[in-house]
Amino acid sequence: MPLLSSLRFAVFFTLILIASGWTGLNAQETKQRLRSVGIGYYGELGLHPGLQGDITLLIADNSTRRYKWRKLLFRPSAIYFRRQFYSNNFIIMPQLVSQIGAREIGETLLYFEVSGKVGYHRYQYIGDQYISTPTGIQSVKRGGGNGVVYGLGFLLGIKSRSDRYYSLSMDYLNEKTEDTIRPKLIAIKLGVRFGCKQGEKETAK
Amino acid sequence: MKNIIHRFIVFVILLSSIQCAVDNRTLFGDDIRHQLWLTHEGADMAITVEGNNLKKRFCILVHGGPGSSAQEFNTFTKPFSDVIERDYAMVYYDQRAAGISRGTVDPETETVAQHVDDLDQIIELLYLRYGEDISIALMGHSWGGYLTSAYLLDADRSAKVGVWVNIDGGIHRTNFLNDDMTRIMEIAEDQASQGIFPFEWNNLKAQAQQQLNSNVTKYTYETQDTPFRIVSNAEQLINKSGVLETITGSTFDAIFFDNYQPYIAAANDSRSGEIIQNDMFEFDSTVEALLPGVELPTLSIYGYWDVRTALQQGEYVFNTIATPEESKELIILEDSGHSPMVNEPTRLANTIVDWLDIHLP
Repeated sequence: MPLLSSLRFAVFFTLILIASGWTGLNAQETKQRLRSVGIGYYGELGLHPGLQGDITLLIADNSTRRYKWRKLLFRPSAIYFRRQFYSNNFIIMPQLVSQIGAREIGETLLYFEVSGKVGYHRYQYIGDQYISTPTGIQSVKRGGGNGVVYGLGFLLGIKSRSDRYYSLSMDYLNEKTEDTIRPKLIAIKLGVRFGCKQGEKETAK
Repeated sequence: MKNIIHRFIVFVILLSSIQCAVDNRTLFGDDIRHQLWLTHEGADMAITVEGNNLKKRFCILVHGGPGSSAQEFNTFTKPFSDVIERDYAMVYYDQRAAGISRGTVDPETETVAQHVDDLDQIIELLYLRYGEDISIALMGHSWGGYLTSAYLLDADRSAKVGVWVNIDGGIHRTNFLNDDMTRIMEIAEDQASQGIFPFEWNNLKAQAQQQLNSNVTKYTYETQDTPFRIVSNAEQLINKSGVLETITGSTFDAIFFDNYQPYIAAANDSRSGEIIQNDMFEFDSTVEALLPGVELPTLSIYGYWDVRTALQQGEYVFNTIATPEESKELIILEDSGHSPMVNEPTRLANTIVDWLDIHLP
């Protein structure tokens, strides 16, 4: 890996750690800000299967009489997906989310989200790997690379009366890898989040 | 909550298990699929070895472009590839900066010489992995035909290969563009006389004639644009005439069950081809000097309706190489254009298998 590239990733990781540290500085505050814990299907191109887990933290609540549900959220997430015959992929991706409730029907709420996200992507090749050397071809176990992914996400969801959030969403990400290519990464996601009422009550105090 | 988490995990595991698993441990079998990567001069080249390798016969598919993908033959043209895989192990490798290959490829390495060196490393890898007693058929399509011919110009490298299968190869870069113009004029005359789009064909014929009259003896990356535009228009007209059948697999299967990565292929495809294409024109003099020395058993296959690499290039190969008459053959597929694996997949595959059965030791 070229030095410049290593430095770039080191700086990026540091930023992620600082962001994580900021949210974890005060455990009590984090607990108060915790809104939900989520899990879902992460399908790169819809069809390459994977899993996403995340937690949602409240940054600001700007709900008004007119806009009953308007929140700014921070959502760190961990993702795994598999490209058949190609690579195993791991992503750590903090997201900044704007969540707006669109319509209330009884005790359920239709809401949508727009999010900006940036994360670290590790891809590991599937299969036996070889490298050519001056003395011939040798077997290696190092294959893969690192990248930065960044882009936007859109989500449509329903909050149920049991404080569960069911959602269908899409990620549109650009990928800046150590490679010379800049592929896109598009994912369709289906998930559920479990609300943390205790946190909301404590914040309300 | 735990129930739902479990359900999601089981769902994803189920989806993954429907897909085929990679089994690289069984080295020989009648239905193997091996997934390999070779890193060479900055490029991480993706290789799939699939089919029957019990008789240790391997057929390397060298894709076109430059910038296309061999994996797409395995995902979208299974009626072609599956027939060959019944008796041979097909080797699909994506060239540097093409298809689903990755790595830190310096644009300066995108030359004919480097591609030839890459192909040599792929062959060395096959010998290393499957043994020195394997036999290899080199099969190139379009630019792959060109690349395989460039590989075979060196006698030492040629000795590593048993036979050459050239499908629609544009072997002599400048001549093939002029051959395309000639072929377009022939087809235009035939179609116009039958009353099929006479105005359009006559118009194209005039453009092709004008291009030939310009007496270009050496094209460049920039000057090839004009003949390629005429070629594209002719292809559109042929498609409009409905003379070609197109058989391709589904995108769903390609993504879910196979190794089709459209956005990675698109990212590679967006790279400039200027360096390699200018290098190809420079390489014509080498082809002229060394092609007459090729003695390998050779099967050339061209589509009757192919105006991108016209059948005249097949005649050029057939008449130029030193292979004895009984070991070389030129076949024209009447219902094919530039991609017979899409137009006549089964016929193409059977033609190749029948010929390989006789000529590949």
